[in-house]
Amino acid sequence: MSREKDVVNYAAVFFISIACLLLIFPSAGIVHKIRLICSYSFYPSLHYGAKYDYYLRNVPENFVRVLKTDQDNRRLEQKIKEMEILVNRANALAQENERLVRITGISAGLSWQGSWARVTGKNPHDWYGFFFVDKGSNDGVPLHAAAIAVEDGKAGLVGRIFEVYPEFSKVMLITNPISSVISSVGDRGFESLIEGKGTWLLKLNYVSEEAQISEGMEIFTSPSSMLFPAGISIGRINRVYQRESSMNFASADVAPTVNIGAVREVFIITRGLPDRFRKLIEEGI
Amino acid sequence: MKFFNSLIVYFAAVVVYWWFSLNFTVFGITPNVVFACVLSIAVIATPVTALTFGFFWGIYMDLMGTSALFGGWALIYTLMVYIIYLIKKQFDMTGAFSQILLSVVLSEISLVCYQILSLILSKINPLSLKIFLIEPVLNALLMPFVFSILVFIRKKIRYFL
Repeated sequence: MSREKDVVNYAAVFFISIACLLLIFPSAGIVHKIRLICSYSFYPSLHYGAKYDYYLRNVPENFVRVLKTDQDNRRLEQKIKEMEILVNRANALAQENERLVRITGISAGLSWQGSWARVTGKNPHDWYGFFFVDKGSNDGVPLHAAAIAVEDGKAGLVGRIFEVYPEFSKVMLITNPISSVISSVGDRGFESLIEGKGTWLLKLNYVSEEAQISEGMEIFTSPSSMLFPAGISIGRINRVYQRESSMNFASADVAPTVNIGAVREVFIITRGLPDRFRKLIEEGI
Repeated sequence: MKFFNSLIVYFAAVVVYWWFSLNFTVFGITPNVVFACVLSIAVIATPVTALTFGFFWGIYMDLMGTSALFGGWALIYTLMVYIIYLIKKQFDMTGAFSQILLSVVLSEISLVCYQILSLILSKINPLSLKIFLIEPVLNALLMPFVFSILVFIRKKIRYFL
């Protein structure tokens, strides 16, 4: 029993001495290297953000460089991912910028006065009915002003200002079923009516037989219209329907000049109407 | 044969601790399976075997740590095993309650000792308050399971401990 006790005591002293020696005397570089290899291999996450200076003491410089290279590699990979997101965002902004420069460049050549407004709200249930823009009475937007957009270098009619608020306005689109625009067909200037159908196509109605319309003809706003300045492109005839049985008029489908569903900015035309016409408009004719 | 069985148990504890630290943490703290194994071995094995296990498991914890000390855990676990050898005849350490109590007390003492060693020798504060609060509780919960597993292994494998 006492012999067993002695053996235990000797073993305890032995192990405690070894442990104390390891603690007190600076461990050799090889020990630190092994420690670092094992620790980094099995628990790499423990080293992220660890206080490295004291931990790496006595470790050979070449191994420290390997370790630091791995750490730098991880950090740079993370940074690359962040940069890729920023690059994608920058590309999108550059494209947007290019588009806006094109639009504003074209608007400088427009023969109407007005201001640009951004489309801020669309109703998914009434996509071809109305949308909102970010300019209102505070910006000088008048009621019933015409709104046009530019696409592929060409200006086309989009709608008119239907409601004006201080900070924003509601635009009724020409594709709205309650919208109608007096239009002029082709070079001869035969007048007709463009009506919205609630879809991307418009309907050209009340076209007299003498007009002899055909596919591809361009439709413009008519000088007879009080609301819209003359000469704004509305669209091109897509398909002609011969005269309906009860009436002596032909009709046609018209594809708008601009894609109404994709409009992001509109140019609101402000023109000085004679007072008597303005009063009539404001009274809601 | 006894040596190989002991090696298997040693590495099994090492692997389980490693797996726990990667996949199972509580508030960022891993239950110290190695500590529970050292305590269990100290109770059920012969003293010299227990001292050997304690020392080498301590070396493993020193190898895996990021602290500046090397040999700290080896010293603490060796001392812990020796203390248990001295007191186990006076106390019953086979019951679950006494194991839980012992685990909590020795966990706290070992963490404090490690903190003191680190502050004296390397002037670095390695442990946070969170570890002092959470790790002893986790070790205490783990202790009865580890003890029963090692007792089971000892009954089944002839040449072990």
